Amino acid sequence: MKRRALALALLVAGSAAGCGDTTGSERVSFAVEVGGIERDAAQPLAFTSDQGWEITLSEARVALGPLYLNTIAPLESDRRSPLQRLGDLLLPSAHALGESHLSSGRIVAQVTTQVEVDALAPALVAVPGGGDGVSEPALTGEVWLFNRDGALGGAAVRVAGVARREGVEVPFEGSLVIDQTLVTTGGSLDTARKVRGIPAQVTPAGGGALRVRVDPRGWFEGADFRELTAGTAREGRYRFTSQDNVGRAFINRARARAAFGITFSPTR
Amino acid sequence: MEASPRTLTRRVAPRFCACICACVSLRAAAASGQSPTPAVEPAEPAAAAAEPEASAVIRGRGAPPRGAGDVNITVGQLASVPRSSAGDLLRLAPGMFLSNGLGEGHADQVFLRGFDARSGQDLEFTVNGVPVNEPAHPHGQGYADTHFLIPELVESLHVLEGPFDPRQGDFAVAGSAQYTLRLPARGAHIQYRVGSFNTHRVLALWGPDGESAGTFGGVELATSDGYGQNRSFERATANAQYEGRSGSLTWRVLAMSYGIRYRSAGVVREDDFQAGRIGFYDTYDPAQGSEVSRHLVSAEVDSTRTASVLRAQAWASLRSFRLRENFTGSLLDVQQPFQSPHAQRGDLIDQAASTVDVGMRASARLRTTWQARTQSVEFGAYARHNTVDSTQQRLRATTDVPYLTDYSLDNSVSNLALYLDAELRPLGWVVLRGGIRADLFQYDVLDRCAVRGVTVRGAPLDQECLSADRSGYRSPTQRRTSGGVAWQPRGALFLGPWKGVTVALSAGLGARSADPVYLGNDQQLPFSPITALEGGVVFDRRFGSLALNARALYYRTHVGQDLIFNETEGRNTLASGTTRQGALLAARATNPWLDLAAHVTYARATFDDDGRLVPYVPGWVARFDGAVHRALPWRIRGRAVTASAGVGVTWVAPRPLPYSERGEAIFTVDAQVGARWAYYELGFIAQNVLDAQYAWGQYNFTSDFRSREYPTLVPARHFTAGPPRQLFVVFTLHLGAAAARHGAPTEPAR
Repeated sequence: MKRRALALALLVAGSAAGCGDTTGSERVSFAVEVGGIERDAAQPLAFTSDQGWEITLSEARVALGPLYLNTIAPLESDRRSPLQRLGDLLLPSAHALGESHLSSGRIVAQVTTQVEVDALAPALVAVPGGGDGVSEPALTGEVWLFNRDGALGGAAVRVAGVARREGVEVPFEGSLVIDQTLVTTGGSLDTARKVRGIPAQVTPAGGGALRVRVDPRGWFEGADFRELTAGTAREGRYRFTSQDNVGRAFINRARARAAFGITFSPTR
Repeated sequence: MEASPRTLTRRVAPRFCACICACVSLRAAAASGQSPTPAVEPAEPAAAAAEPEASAVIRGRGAPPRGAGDVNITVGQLASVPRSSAGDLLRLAPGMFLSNGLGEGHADQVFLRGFDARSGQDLEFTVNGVPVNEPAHPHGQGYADTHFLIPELVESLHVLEGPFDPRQGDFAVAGSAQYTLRLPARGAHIQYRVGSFNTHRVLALWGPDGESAGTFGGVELATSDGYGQNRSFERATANAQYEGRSGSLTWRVLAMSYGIRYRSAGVVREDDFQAGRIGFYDTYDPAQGSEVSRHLVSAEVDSTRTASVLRAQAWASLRSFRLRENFTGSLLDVQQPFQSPHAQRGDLIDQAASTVDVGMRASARLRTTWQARTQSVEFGAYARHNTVDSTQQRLRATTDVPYLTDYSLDNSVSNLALYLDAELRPLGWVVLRGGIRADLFQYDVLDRCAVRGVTVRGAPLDQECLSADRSGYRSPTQRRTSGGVAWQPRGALFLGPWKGVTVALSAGLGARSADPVYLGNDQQLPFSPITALEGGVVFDRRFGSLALNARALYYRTHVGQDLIFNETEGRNTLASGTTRQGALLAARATNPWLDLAAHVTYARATFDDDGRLVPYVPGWVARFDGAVHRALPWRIRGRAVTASAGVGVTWVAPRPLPYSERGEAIFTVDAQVGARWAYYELGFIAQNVLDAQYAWGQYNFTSDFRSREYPTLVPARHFTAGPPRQLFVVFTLHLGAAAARHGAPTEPAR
C-alpha cells in the first residue's frame, strides 16, 4: 500500500514538475565540414565540359559561408525523379507544390563563419564554430558568397587550370568577385550573392555534422575557351573576365545550385 | 455567520489598529486609519454595503466572496516592502509574477495562473471602478498600463483569480485586479527620493482634514537615467479625488493625468553577451522608447440604504501612445517584388494610438431576509466605447524614417453588458453567489490601408495603401464590422466556515474581446471564450492579536483562442486554444507589529492541438513579503521614534521557452528600512539587494542585430535585463494635525 502511495506520489510530482514537457522542436549545434568532391586526391581534377573541353584544374578556391538551411522546396526539376518526370508528362498536374521556392521560406540552420575551401581537396575540413539551428527538416541550402582576401585575392571564387580541345590548349585563370556588376535589373547585391535552392533534405541534430562539398566540374558549362586566345596571355595564362563567354559562364555556373552538395550525418 | 455590528467592530478594529501601525512610512501612512469615518470599501461598494460581514471579507478576512482565489489585499504594513509602481502591488496576490524589461513606462508583463498576460490582455484592471485595459491597442488587445497610479495612494487591491463574478468584464480571463485609491493619512506629505542612476522623485500628497479618506490629491514628478544604456525616463503624474456624503448618498469625482517619456533598451542576444559583443544592460537600438499620456475623469454616486445599494458611475479618458521597439534587428525587411531593390532597412516597429474612451456602469443591489438570513440580488449594466486611431509602421534604422505601414486602422469598439448577480443563503453554512453576464461586443474598423503587400501589374514600385488590386481599381480603404454576444454564467458555492475553514467551489465562463487587427468582416464571435473551474479551501481565523489567513486551491482554465507573443509584431498574436491547470498555496499572518505574506503557485499551460507547453509561462512562482513595524524604546523631545523594515523575495522557476528550452530562474530580494520622528521620516530602499544579474524576460526567436559578420537567421536566446541593485534614500515631511500628534505621549506611536 505504501509503495502504491509512493508511486502515485512520484507520478503526481513528476507530472507537476512537467517532466518531459516540451514546447516543440529544439535548438541544436552541430559540426560543419567542408571540402571538394570525393575523389582520388593524388590525381588532378580533370573533367570534360558539355562543350567538349577537357579541363584540368590546378586551383579552385571558394570563400564558403555563411550557409543556411531553408524549409523552402527546391525547384521542381531538382526534386523530381526521372520516373516522376515521366509521370508528369503523361498526367500533367498543377504546379502549386513546386512554387514555394519563390518564397523566402524559413531558415532552420546556419553557419555564420566563412572558410576558404580548396575544392580540389577531397578531405573534409572542420569549420571553426560549427553551425546551429533547430531540429526541423530543411529542404534546401543557401550559400551566400562574400569576397575574401588572402589566397582568394578579394574574390569569392578563384579558379585556374588548362582547357584542351582538338589540339588547342588554353591555360586560364579567373575569379568571381561579388560586386555591383552582378546586380541585374530589379535585383540587389544581396540577391546576387545568394546561391539558393541547393537540394538538402536534412534535419539538423545535435552532435551531428553538416557536410558541404564544392563541385567545380560544372563551372564552365557552356564556355568556349577559344575566345580567350584572342587576348593576350599573362604569365602563360589567359585571364577570363565578365566580358567574355568563359567569364560569363563561370560567373553564373559558380553560383549554380549544382556547384554545392549538402548532406548531414547524425554523428561526427 | 451573520455579523453583528459589535462583531464587525471586533473584526475590523484590529485591522484598523494595524493600519495605524503602518503610519511610519508614507505608504503605511496611507493606512493609518485617520479617516473621520470608517471606510466603506470602494472595491466592492455594493457588496460591502449590502452585506456587513463582507467588509471583513474585503479586508482579507472571512469567507471569500467569489472563490478560493478571491483575495482582497490591504496593503497595510506591507507597504514597507519596496515597490516601484502600483503594478508591483500585484505581487501580493497569489501566483502573480510581474516583469518589465522594456522600459519604465511600459505596461508590466503579468504572469498569473499559467497566463502570460503580456501587457494585460488576460487580466482585467480597474481603478476606482474605471477600466484600464485598452481595446484595439496597437501594442496588444487589452494593454493595461497602471503607471498612471501613484502607488502611495493605493489603499487596497482586490484580485479575483478567474472569471467567477458576473461583474467582471472584458479581459477577465486569468482574473481581475481592482485598485482602490484612498488616503487615510490626512494632512500633507512631501517626499523626495534620490538614488541610483541619478533617480529623483518628488511626491506630494494631500488629504484635507475634515474630509474622508476618499478625498485626496497627489502629484509626482520623477526622472532617472535608468540602469545600463537607454533606460532614462521623465514622468509626471496627478491623481485627485473628492468624496462627498449626504445622508445615504456618497459621490466621488476622480481626475487623473499622467505623462511619461521613457527610453527602452529592448532585448539582448545571449550569444552576443556571452561573446562580449554587448553588455548585459546595453542596447542594440537606442531609438527604442515611448511617449504616453493619459487623462481621465470619473464621476460616481452611491446610494446605500438598508434594503438597497444603488450605484452609478461614468468616465471619460483621453490617451495617446507611441512606442518604438525592435525585437529582431534587421531581419524582416526582405526584398519584395513590389519594392525597388533595397538592403535590410531595420525592424524598428513604431506603434501609435490616439484613444477616446467613454463609459458608464450602474447597478442596483436589493436585499431581503429569508429564513433569518440575508439574501440579495444585483442587476447591473456596463457600457464602454473606445475610438482608437492606431497605426504600426516600420522605421529605417538610425533615421526613424518610416518605410512601411503594417496597418492603419480607425477603430470603434463598443462593449455593452448586462448582468444579474445573486447571493443566496439557503442554509447557515451554505452560500451561493453568482449569476449571468451577457456582453455585446461591437466593432467598426476602417482599414485605411487595406491593400498592401501585393503585386499589381503596372503599379509603381514601393506604393503602400494601393487603390488597385489584381481585379483593377478599388478604394484603398475597407471597412470591417462585426458583433456578437457572449453569455457568461458564473457562480461560486461556499460551505462553512467550520472553525475558520471554508470550502469554495467556483466555475464560470468569460470572454476576451477580439483584437481588431485580426477581425474578419461579419465575424460571428468577435471574442475568445474562456471556461474556468476552481476548487479550494480557505482558512481564516484570529488567534489573539494574530490574524491568520491561508488558502489552497486547484484551478483549470480553457481559452478558445489564445494570444501568444510574436517577436515579429512586437506583441501577442493569435494562436490556437490552450488549457491551464495548477494549484496554489498562500498565507498571510498579521498582528499589530508584524505582517507576513507568502504564496507559491504551480501552473501548467498547454496547447490543445498538440499538448505542448505554452512558452514563456512560468511553472512555479513563489513570493514572500514581510514587514515589521515598532515604536523604538527611545523618545526625542517627548516624541516616540517609530521604525519599520520590510523585505520582499521573489522566486520564479525556469520558464519554458520555444524550442523545448527552459530559461533561467529568477531570485531577487528587495528590502527597506525606515524611521519616523514627529514630522520627519527617513527611509532607505535597496532593490535587488543581492545584485543578481538576471533576465527579466527570456525569449527564443530569430533576430539579426548585425552583431556578427554575417546575418544570423536561426532562433537564439534573447533576454531583457532585470535591474541591478538600486539604492535609494527617501525623506518625507509630514504636515497637518495628524502629523503634529504623531509619537506624542497621548498618541499611539506605532
